Amino acid sequence: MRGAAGFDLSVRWINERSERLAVERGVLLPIGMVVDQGVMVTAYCRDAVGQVGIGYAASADLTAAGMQQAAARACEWAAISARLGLFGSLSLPSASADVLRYANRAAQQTWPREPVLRHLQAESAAMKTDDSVVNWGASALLTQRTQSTLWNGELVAEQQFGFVEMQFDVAVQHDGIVQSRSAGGRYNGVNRQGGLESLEQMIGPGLGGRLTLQAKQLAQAPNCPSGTMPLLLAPDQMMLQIHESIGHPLELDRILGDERNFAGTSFVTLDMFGSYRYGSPLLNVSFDPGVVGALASCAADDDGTPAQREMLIEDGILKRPLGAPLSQRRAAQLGFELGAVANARACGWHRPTIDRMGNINVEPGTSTEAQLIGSIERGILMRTNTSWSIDDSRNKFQFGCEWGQLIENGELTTVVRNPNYRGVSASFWRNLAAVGDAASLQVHGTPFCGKGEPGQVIRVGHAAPMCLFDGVQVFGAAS
Amino acid sequence: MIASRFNDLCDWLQRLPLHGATATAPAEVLFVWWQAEYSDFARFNHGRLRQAGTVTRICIDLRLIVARRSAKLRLTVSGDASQDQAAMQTALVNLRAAIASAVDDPYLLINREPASSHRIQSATLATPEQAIATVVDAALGHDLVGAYMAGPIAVALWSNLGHRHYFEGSSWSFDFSIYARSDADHDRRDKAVKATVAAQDWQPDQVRLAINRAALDCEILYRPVKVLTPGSYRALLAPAALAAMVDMLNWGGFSARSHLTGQSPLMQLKEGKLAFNTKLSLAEDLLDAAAPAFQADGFVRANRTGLIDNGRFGQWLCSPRTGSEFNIGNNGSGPDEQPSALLMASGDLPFNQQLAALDQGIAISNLWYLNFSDRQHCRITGMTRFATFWVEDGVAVAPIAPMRFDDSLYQCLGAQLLALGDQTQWLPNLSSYEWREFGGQRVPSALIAALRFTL
Repeated sequence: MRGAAGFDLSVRWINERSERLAVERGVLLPIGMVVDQGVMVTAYCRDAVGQVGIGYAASADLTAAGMQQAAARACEWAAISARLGLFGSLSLPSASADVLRYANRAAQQTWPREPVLRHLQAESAAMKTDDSVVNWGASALLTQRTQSTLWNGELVAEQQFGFVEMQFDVAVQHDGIVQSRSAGGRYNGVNRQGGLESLEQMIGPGLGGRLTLQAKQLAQAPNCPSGTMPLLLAPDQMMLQIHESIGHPLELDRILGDERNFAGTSFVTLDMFGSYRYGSPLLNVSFDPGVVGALASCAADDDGTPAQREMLIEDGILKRPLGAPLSQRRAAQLGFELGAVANARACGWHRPTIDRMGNINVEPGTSTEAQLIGSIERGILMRTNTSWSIDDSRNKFQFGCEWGQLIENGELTTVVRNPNYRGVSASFWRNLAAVGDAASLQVHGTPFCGKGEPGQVIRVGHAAPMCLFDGVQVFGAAS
Repeated sequence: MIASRFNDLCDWLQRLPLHGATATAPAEVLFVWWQAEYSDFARFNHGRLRQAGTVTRICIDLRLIVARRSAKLRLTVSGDASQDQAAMQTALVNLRAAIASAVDDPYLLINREPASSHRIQSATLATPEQAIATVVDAALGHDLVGAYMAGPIAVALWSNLGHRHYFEGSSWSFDFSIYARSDADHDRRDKAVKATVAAQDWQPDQVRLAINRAALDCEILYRPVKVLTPGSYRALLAPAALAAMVDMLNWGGFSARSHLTGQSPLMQLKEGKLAFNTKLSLAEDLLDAAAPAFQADGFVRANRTGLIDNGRFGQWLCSPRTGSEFNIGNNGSGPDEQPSALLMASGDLPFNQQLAALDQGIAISNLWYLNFSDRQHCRITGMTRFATFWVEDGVAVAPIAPMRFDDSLYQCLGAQLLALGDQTQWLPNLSSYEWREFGGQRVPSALIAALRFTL
């Protein structure tokens, strides 16, 4: 396959197979399988007056004629982009000199259905203890993806991923009050790159019964009190807090304005990097594609840029945006020399790359869980996200959790239902009062990070320990 | 062109030898759901082209059913007939193997009555060059950001029981915002006016007109920002803002399964314990939205289903599976039990008297990132976004900083709902997460006596 004269071509080929197994209200649902394959062809050019153009074409027609047709369409768009686009005389990123390889072991295994189904059926059965359980279910989505990136016909990255994404959730009704409890959240909250061995690590024994027990506690619990108090967040809520109020605002394409019509902008501006106090000195945040098992671990991003760990925030000071080389060079055009990360990512062969989160993690601190709880005179612990809302510049947020538990005189006491809290990103992280040690760190993530025009939903990872925040506005349900 | 791809597939499927009934097993039933798009996508930033390309994609869902057992496999097809036919044969082998190890599904329900329908809404669309040049030329001097999407999309259903439905539509949309220039004032960099134009045939004058109008509407954004303290305010919701609120009802509000499993935010409405204002009537109207009525189990739903009638719960949307499980009648809904085309009845507030009727309060053009803060009480939270103004004596006087609201829909669309606009606005579904979509919402504006802002 060739582009027209004067065009460079990159090709991203993806082959993905997945299988969904689910038990809904005690009944095994029909198996659903997916076989998906296609290519994204991206053309780059520089016209006679030095203006850069970029265009793409995505196709599942992998015949020579089909690939050539896609290349021609991509070149056509690139030519229009050179004439009417915003890149100007930007210097284009170059491809990696070495072939980058990544292979998660699960990507090469054949998943046996029976053990997974047994797990799902056992946990589902354990959830349905009596008639107060009004809804319950367990599911697993098992995905294997192979992808290659080529630059002008030369292989630059070859990667194999294996994802397991599971959902366990139960709803209990008591005196007209319905409460739900899930493992890690109701939207495939248990997720990992890994194989069958990771099932046991992720869910542990007795999950189904434990979730029902907790949902029953919640359904009979008092409403969450209102007030300003210390808030201790568990890792499965830190996941969402990091995602919405650190990850998204640091995306460089947002800061450059690309997403202002849809996903939004950012309260972070180009001049803040290197000096802005994002959080208290206890806050350290990394972009880390090397976390074993995390959803976004890889050797290269989807443009073939080598992926390596970088610090985004150090000792509370903002250091580096989430910007791939293309965005980095656009920022440089504006006079801001910022470091890049390998985060040009796409949800599949049918979407172009944009700046995305990868694994964005809060680094562990030194406080044990006992010390965190023991330090609080009157506060609250919240676990497991259930509601999320934040403004378009990623500042004013309101989040809700499944599980709340009061902390009084240094001890966990009353369970409360419908715990919510709200705040402002720019001040919230500065109130970070203590960070849990490595023992409390958990690897979470979400397969449902949405962004882009056209839209894309992508997997991201977030590892975090328990974290304590001072002076947070907390409240509960309507009644 | 797309229809011929489906027709070719049907011809091949008609000849596909499926297993007939034997002494020990009933005949195989095959349902095929087919989905296609040939889409041009172009993003703009700062009035120039940022990212553009074409996506060509066809997927088929092969669903094999033997007695009460079934399995499904989604396959992306290449367009090369021999490759695709071989892939489908392999898929059938995998489906048969999956069924062999499956257990009976007590709630499997398909429509065994043959049925067919055919609709193609064709259009004259722009070339990439025409569309991009129109936008870039009209955006000159403005900080425009947005997305143009165009091309045909289609869905279809075939089965060896005699189903053959086809629905194709060609259209374009341009969804954009114009931002107030922020060179001198840091506070203004988040201030913008948003608009959408969409149609079947390409209409460059509509694009130019919409950009010019949005640019004029931007003028007020240069005034000093008014900062409001949290509290309850009288509010005028433009159709896009009201649509965002009503969209939250799609999160299980009309789903029979959600009601029957204790999950719906409208359980108290269904049970008659609470009601919306009698001015509020909502229906799924497939004809108005030009959305397909058939679904993957072979059922066809009514063109119009009343969901909320004068503030009271009307019908729910019930899929065949839910109907089978709970032993109730289904109304041909898809498995998500969500309306694909919402129509809200208009009211009596004249368009040109809306600001006067608001008198003093907040005029909100768009809401953003809504979610439930208390699902059982249908309490939602979200943010104001884009052009949101403080209004004094019926005149917009200043933009306001983004504000968070947190209120129950039973309140703001109940006792607090003063009036609905006398005109509705069509808001096409511009979601493109996996595919471009059919459908949308047609809603009026709403005047609310008190909307609770918290941050």
